[in-house]
Amino acid sequence: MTPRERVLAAVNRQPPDRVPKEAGFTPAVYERFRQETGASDPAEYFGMETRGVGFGPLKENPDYQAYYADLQSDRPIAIGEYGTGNIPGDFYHFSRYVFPLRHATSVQEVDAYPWPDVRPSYRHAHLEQQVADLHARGLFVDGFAGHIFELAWQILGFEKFFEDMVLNPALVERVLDRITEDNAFRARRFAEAGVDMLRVGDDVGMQDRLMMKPAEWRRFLKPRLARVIAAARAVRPEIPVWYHSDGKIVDIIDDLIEVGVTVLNPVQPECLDLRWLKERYGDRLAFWGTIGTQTVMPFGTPADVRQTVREMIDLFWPGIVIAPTHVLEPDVPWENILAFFQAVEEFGARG
Amino acid sequence: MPSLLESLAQFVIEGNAQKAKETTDEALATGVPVADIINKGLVAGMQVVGQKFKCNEFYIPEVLIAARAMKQSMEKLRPLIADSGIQPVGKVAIGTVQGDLHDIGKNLVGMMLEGAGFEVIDLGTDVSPATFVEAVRERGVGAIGLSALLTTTMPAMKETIAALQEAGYRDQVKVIVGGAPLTQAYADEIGADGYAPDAASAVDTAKALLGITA
Repeated sequence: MTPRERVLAAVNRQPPDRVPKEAGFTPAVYERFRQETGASDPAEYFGMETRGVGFGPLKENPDYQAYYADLQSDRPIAIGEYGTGNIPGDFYHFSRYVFPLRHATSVQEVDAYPWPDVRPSYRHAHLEQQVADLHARGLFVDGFAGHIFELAWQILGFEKFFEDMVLNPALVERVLDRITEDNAFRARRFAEAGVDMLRVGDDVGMQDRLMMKPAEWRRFLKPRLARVIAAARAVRPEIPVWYHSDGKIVDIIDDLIEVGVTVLNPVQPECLDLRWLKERYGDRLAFWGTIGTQTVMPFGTPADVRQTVREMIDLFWPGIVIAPTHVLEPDVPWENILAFFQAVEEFGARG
Repeated sequence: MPSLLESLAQFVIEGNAQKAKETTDEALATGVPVADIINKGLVAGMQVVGQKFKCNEFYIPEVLIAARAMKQSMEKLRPLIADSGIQPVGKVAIGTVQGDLHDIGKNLVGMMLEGAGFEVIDLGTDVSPATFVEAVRERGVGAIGLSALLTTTMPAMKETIAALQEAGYRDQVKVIVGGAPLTQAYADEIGADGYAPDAASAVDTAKALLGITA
C-alpha cells in the first residue's frame, strides 16, 4: 500500500497493510529532533503518511489597530489574519491572547469588523496542483477548514463568549456565522481540490465534561459544523471528515456522527473510556490519536509507551491512525518519542 | 412568596445581575444586615451554582453569569463591609504557576471561592514561586491554589512548595493544586495538601483543609 492507501483504508475502517501514524512537535521538541537526527522534517524522517494543504496568506491583512488602541503592552502584539492578538510569554511556545472585539455589544459592531477575505483566488488556486503533487508521491492529503468556536472566543474573549451565549446570543451567533461562512468556503475548495479528508474541530471539552451544556452546543455549534461539512460533501459526498476536540466529549459524539463526522481525534485516554468508545462507535467512527500526552508520553517509560501503542492497535484495529493526543510538549522524553515510532513499526503490521 | 434573600439567591443562580442588584438595594433599604445579604443571599445562591456545576447541570456559561451577578451585587456591599465588621470565611491566594498562561480554570476557581465567602487574592498567570511565598508572608493567606493546564508546567507546583518550605512558611499555609492533567497521586507525590478535580470541589477542599464548617 502507498501511504495514501494506508490512511484511506484506516479512516474507512478497512484493514491497512500497517497502522498509519502521526505526531506533532512543539518548537522545543522539534529542536531536539534536529539535534538527535540531523534531519529537518519529522514527517519525512519518521515516514508519516499525511500532509496538510492550506490557503495562502492575504497580501495584506485588514487594519485592526483601532481594536488595540486602548491597550498597553510592553511586548509587541502579534495580530493574526482575523485580528486576534497574541503576546508571547517567557516559557516555550505559550502566549497570551488579546481579544479584538472584547468591548463589542451589538451585531453592528460585528458587521463593521474588518473581516479578512478568504475568497481571492490567489489564496487557494494552488490547491489543485499541490494536492496532485502530494498524491503523485503517494501521500495522503488533508485540509483544515478552521475552528469556529475557538476563533469566535479568540475574537470576543473567552469569558465574554460564554456570558454572551446567555446574555447576548445574537452577538455570539453573528460572529459564529461570519466564521462559518469562511470555513465552509475552505471546506468546499479542499473538496474540489481533491483532498483525501476534511479536518474540522473545536476544543469544547474539559477534562471531565463539556464546557457548555450539550443543548447549548447543539444550538450554537452543531448547525454551523454541519454547514461546513455539507459544503465539502456537496462536492465529494463520501469524503472522510475528521473532528478534533480535547477532553470528555461523549455527550456529543452521536451528534457529530449525525452531521457527518467519520474520524474522531484525539481520543484522550485520560478523559474517555476507550473500550466503550470502540464498542459503541467502532462501526461508524475511525479513531485518530489515543496515546495520552497527559500520562504515558511525558511520564511513562519507553516500555510503557511501547505497551500502550500495542494495546491501542489491538483495541482499535483496523480503524485507527495512531498518534499522541496532542503536539508533543517539551517535557516528553526523546526516548519515548522514539519508542512510539518503533512500536508502531513493530506492532502495526497486522494486515 | 420567597423572602427577599431567597429571591436574591435565586437571581444569582439565574445569573440575573440586574435583578440581583435591585434586590440587594431593596434589602439594604429595608435594613437587612449586610452579613445576611452576603451569606443568605449571595453565598447561598453561589452554593447552589457550585452544586449544579458538580452534577453537570450547570456548565461554564451558567457559572460565569451567576458569578457576574454575585460580583455586581457585592460591589454595592463592599463599602459597607468594613463598617459592619464582617470577616471573610478565609483568605486564599490563587495563581497559574510559573511558565503557564492558561487562566480559565483558575478564574473559575476564584469565582467559586468568592461565591463561598472567601477573600481571594488572584495573583494572575505565570506566577513565580517567590510571588506565592510573598502572598503568604505579606497577605496572610491560609491557603494557596496552584493551577496548571499542561504537564510541562506541573513541575512548577513542586518548585512552589519547595520555595514555601525554604522560606519557612510551609506549615502556615495549605497548598491546593488543580488543572486538567493533575491527579490526587501527583498532589500526594509533590506534597500538596489537597487536590481539586473541578472548580466547585476546590471550595470543598479549601474549607476542609482550613477547618471551615459553614
